[in-house]
Amino acid sequence: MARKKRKKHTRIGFVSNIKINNKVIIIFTLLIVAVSIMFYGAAVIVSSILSENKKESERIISSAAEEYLNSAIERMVSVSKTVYTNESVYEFLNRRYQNTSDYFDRFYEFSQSGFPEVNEESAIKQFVIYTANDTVKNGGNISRLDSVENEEWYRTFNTLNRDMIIYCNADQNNLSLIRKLNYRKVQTGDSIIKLDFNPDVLQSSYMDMYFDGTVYVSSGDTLLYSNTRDVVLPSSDELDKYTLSSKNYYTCDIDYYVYANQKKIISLFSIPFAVPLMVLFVICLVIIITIITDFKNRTKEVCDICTEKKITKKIHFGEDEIGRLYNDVKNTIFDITRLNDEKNNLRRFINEYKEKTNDVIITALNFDTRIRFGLENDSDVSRMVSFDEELRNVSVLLDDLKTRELFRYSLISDTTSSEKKILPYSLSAIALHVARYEGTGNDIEIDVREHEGCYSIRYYKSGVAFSPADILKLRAIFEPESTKSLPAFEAEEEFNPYIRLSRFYLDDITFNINSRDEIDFEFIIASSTGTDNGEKK
Amino acid sequence: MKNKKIPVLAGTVLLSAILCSCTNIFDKGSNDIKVFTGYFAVSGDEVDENNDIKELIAKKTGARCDEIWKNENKSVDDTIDDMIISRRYPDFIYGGIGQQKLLDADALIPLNEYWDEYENIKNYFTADQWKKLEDENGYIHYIPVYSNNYMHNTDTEHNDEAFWIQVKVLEWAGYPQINTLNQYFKLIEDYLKENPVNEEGEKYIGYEILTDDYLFFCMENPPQFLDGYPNDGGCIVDPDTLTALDYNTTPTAQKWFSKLNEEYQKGIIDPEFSFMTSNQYYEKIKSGLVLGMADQHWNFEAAEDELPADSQYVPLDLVISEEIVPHYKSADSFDMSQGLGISVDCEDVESALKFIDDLLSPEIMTLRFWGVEGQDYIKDESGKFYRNDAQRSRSFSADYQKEHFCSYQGFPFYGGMNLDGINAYCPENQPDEYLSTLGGPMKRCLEAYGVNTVSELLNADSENPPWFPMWTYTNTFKADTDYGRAKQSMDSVKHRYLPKVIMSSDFDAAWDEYMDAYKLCDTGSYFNELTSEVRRRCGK
Repeated sequence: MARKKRKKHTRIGFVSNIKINNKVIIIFTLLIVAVSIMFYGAAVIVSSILSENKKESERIISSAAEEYLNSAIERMVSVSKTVYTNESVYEFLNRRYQNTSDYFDRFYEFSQSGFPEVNEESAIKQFVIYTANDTVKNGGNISRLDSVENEEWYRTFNTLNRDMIIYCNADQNNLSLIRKLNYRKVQTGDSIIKLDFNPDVLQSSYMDMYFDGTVYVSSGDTLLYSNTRDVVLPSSDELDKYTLSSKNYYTCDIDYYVYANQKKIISLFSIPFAVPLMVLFVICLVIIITIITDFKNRTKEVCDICTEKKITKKIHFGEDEIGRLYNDVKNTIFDITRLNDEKNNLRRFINEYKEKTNDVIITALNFDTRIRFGLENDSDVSRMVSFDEELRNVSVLLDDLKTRELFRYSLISDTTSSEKKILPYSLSAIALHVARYEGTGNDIEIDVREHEGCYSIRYYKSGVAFSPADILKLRAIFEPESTKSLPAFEAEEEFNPYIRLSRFYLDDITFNINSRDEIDFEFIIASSTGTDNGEKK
Repeated sequence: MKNKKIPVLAGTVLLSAILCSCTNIFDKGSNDIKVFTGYFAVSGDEVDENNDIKELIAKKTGARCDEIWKNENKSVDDTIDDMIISRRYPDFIYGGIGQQKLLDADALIPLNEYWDEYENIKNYFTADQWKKLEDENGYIHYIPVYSNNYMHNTDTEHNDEAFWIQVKVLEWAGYPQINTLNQYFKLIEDYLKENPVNEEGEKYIGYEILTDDYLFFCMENPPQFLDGYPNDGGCIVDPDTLTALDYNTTPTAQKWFSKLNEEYQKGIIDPEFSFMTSNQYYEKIKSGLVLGMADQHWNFEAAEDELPADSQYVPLDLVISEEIVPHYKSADSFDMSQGLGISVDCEDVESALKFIDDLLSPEIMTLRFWGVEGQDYIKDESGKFYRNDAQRSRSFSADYQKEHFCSYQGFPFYGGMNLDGINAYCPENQPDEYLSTLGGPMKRCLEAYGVNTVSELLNADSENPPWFPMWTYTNTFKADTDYGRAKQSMDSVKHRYLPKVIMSSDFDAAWDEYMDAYKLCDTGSYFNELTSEVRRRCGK
């Protein structure tokens, strides 16, 4: 089945109705919005990635922070074990010294050779063996237990009653490992070893983490280490935003607080080739703005030219589609201008021609009138007369005809105008023509009135009516801008008073036929058609 | 016109949006400041990272130095050894007692190869002094830091070795004249009789002796002072024969240790003295229980700072007998054994030298030691500096010191007078400022003895002999020479036996035992070497 081909129509959307200035504003606004959305979207995506990175780095750093302390504690435990299992230590502690000199001898030897190597990487700030042996002297790495009986760490150690504990010294913000020395039985009483961590070493480890954020290692409210120079923990509110993990080391709970600083979107200038890219971006924007602005300005210019249909300034519109459109418009406007000029010239010529033709016709008709009415001078038929005078001419003429043509007439007039505005023998000729039309014995009534400078002349003849052809002819004669040319009038064989009248008064005369059955028609002559000297302008 | 505004406006908005989205675009930071690292084998004051004056100096000189001071938990030797083994050095190194190791490891650049444009450095010492620092090839590798006084010494404190006594003891005794060792210990004994414990009931320690490591000079070198010799260090020198003599074996040495033994037996001396570490010693000083000791002031100064005014220490220049003229104070010695060098790892030697040179300029010198004019001190019409109460009080604040003052104390500086020739180089040495910082007990003490400064309590210093001090030479001794090994043996014997000599119930036997052990050391090679050096320094 043959499918009926539908005719395509170009749809005109609402966009086409938006003015170009508004379009440009919309385009720039949308451009700004689009770029903003692009940047915002990029920022959101990057922020999301950074947020994930923050969590991941906090987790990693928390593990690393734990590992630092794990290693330090393991090292401490290892060191304590070397002391714990060192036979010479028990030998030193088991001996009762006779006097200070005796103790010094053993102490010196013990310090020089038998003393355990504990100062590993300076991870230990202080290492002291406390003993119940009351023959030793306090000093160096040996001390008597009775000198620390009242100290908190010792009481805590005794209270917990463990072989080994990690103790947090809140006053010194430091950790200590405390361990019983019971590997061998000591005859002189209990002995313990206390290893104080070197906080500087661990602190420097945390300081060297190259972590963009904050790490706090604490026990309870006591800040032990951090990668800052802080000496106290922040408030609990502040700590709420930290990632927290906890671990217990030999009865000591250690908390790891980690907070990674949210990385900011990197500075544009830190991107490789940032400056050239920025310049390129700005250049692109400038080009876009320039293109749109140029498009808008030229379109408006073409539109204005089309509206005004004239070119007021010299513009080079380029070679693109708008340029070609401009050239087409320019050529069309040039043609239109030229045609208008020619039209005006032709109109002037026609007017001049008509005027000349009119003059010829009037002159001919005036001559004919002069001959017909037996007048001697041209001025008798061409110089304007007053209405009263013309009415007297009519009256004389009709009186003269009345006796010979056997008709009756009445001339009703209310005018006493002395202004010379009437073509002589114009109304008379019409009255004569009406009187003679189609026989005699009719009653002719002529009603003349003056009102606001216009003269109304109504002819009425009872009896024979004008034929439709005559009526059309009359109408044609009095139509403004009559198409009847000079040759047409030349072809008229009979004298036509109506033509003389219409040619003389032209637009200032109107003609009305009120009845088909009777001769009843009216002239209205505007008062402005004449001057005092009777010249028709 | 209206139409033309649209693209301009749009472009502006767009660019603004772009630029606003790029944070910190114009934040250049402080990339123009050159940052050096430095290790200084002396105790130093940590300053805050954004220390005001450090930043100010950085702006003026274009450089800063992140200083690392001696680690109290790690010996200087170990630290220097670690550097040498790893072949990684900071830009600046003050080697201290490890200076010679650095030289042997070729860790320091020859400064005089680069310093032509740096007049402040070249003029820091005289040509003769620089000559003394040249090695056999004519190269100078380091600049002694603490050996230069401008115009004259202005020290108000005695920063070297002396016998020290708490000011309250002198006040209690009515400010007696204490000249001899016996007078000194009698004063302590008398005080302890009446004041055995402090207000908290803690027992006073009449006399303390530090024997730890190299600081055992507190125990072993007083005989040189008691005999009226200056602090040459490892020896005393006979000026007539230019011979290095052993102060360890003099009759005065025996008297000294005999006296210590006697006082120990009386309970005047801390029974734990021979077992103490230096940290334990400092803790005892800080407790205020130690009435007296012999020590270098720089060693216990930090601990003393924590004491109340009546427990501050006054130096005494004791001699063994009245006829001996004490010689505890010495004119500033030229310590050419150690100094600040630039390491071979420094990537910009010129900038490093410029930094040192800038630090010696008058403006920066004043900044380093006086601070910022108006903020830290006021200059009167005559150019004299002074501080009002607020400035003075602020300068004592530990926090303010950390965040504001930066003296770059490991870098060369001029002691004595400020380079303006009007003021002392630092407020502490300005007489008016010094007096205003003294507590009541110390003021009364100085008044009682008719002096203006603590330094004046000691016999005035005289011109140093040309060999002085010999410790600048003995500090360079290592175990690869006879005299180096002899020094180690002597030190070891003294460490081993001297505490026993002091603690022994039989002094003579203990002394003889000590002497027997001591004589086994090759003291001859040691003192012969020192004699040679004395004579070399004297041009003999």
